[in-house]
Amino acid sequence: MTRYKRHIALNEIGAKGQSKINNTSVLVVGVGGLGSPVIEYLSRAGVGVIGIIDFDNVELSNLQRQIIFSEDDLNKNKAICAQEYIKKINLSIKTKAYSEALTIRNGSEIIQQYDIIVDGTDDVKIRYLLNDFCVLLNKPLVYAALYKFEGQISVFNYKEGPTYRCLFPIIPKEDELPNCSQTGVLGVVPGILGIYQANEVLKIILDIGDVLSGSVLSINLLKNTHTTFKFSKNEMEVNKLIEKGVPYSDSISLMNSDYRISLNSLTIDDKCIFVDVRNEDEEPVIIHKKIHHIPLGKLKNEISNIISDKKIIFFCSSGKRSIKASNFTNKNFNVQSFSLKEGALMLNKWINE
Amino acid sequence: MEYTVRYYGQIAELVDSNEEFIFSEADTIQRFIKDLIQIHPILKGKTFQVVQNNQIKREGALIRKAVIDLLPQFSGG
Repeated sequence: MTRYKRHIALNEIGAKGQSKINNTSVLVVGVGGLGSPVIEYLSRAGVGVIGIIDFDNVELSNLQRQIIFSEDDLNKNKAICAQEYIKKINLSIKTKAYSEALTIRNGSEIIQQYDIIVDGTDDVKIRYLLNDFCVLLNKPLVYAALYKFEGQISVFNYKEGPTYRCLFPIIPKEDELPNCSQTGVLGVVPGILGIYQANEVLKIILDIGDVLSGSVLSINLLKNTHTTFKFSKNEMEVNKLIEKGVPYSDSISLMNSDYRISLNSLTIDDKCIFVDVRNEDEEPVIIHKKIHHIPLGKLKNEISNIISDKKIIFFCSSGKRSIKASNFTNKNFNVQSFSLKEGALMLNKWINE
Repeated sequence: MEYTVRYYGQIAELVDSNEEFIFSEADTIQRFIKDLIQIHPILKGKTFQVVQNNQIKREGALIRKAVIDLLPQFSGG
C-alpha cells in the first residue's frame, strides 16, 4: 500500500477507503479530452478495474489535449492505447479495452459489468444513450461536456437521483450542437473538466463530500467563474424511460450512424467476418476464409445469408460504400457491423502480413 | 421590473453578451422568455434550460428581480 500512502494518510480515506477504491470498477466511455485525464487520475488512484471504450484511432490533432497519448500511438485504437498506458502507470489495475462504439446493442452488456460510468463522449446522441442505460441498469453516471472555454459537470442517477434527461429533457436538433472538431477547444478545458470527473468518481466510491447529484457545475475558464445550478428529478421523464425499458428518443435516432473500425484495433483471430462490397471486377481480389463478397447493390437481398453472432466488417476501396452497407445493416438487423476505415488495398496487405 | 440575465456557451455567442439587464413585466418564466425572444429573435427555436436564482425551472412564477441564466446543452468532450 506504499503507493497510496498519501491517500491513506487522509482521515477521509484511510486504508479502508483505499481498499474501496481498489475494489471498484469504472467504465470510461470515450477516451478524448475528457476521458484522458479521467484515466490518468483513476489509474494512479488505484481503481481496481478500468474499462475503456472507444472505436476511434489516435490522430495528430488529438495530442494537443488528449494527455495519455503520444506520437507513438498515432493511428492506433484509443481504447487499446489507453489500456497500454494504464499498464505503464499501475500494473495492479485490471483493464478491459473495447475498440468499438457504444451502441444500443452492446451498451447494456458492457455497462452492467461496472460500478460507475464516466461520460467522456462528444456526441449528444451517445450521451442520451448512456444516460438511459445507466438509469435502466442503476449505475451512477459522471458527466462533463464542454464548449470552447466553458464546461458543465454533473453526476446523474446517483442513489436514484436526477438524470441527464431531468437536466436536459428536450433533445436538441443535431445542428444545434457543434463538437470540438468544428468549434475548437483550448486544451486545458477538457483537462480540468476530466479531473473534476475523476474527483466525483472518487467521492462516489468513498462516499464523502457533496457529490454533484441534482446540481450542475458550470465553469467559464476565461472569466474564472464557477456557478452551481440545482435541478430536480423529473419523475415523468424517468418513469417514461423505465416503462419503455430501452433507450429511446422521440426526435432523433439514437443509433450511431457512422460505425468505423480500423485494422489497428483488429486481429485476424477476432470473432468477425469481412464483407467486400465492391463489384466483382475490382482489384485487388482478396481471398480469405473470413472474407465474403456481396456487392453493395445485392446487399439487401443477400445480407441475411451471412448474419451470425460474429461482428461484420464491411470494406470497399475508399470507405464510402462500406459506410452505406454498415448503416443499412445496423438499421435493419440485430447485429454489430462496422465500416473498415482502410480500404481493400490495406486489408489485402494486412491479411498477407 | 429589471432582471439580470446571464448567457452561456452558444447562447452567449448568439446574443453577443455574457450578461445584461432586461426589463420585463412578465409574471411567469414562459412569458419572460417570450419577452426575451422579442429582444433577441435569434433565440427563437433554440434549446436551452432556464435557471431562476440558481434553480433550473422551465415554468412557473417569475420571482421579482431574479437572476435568470440561460444554459444550453454542450456536446464537446
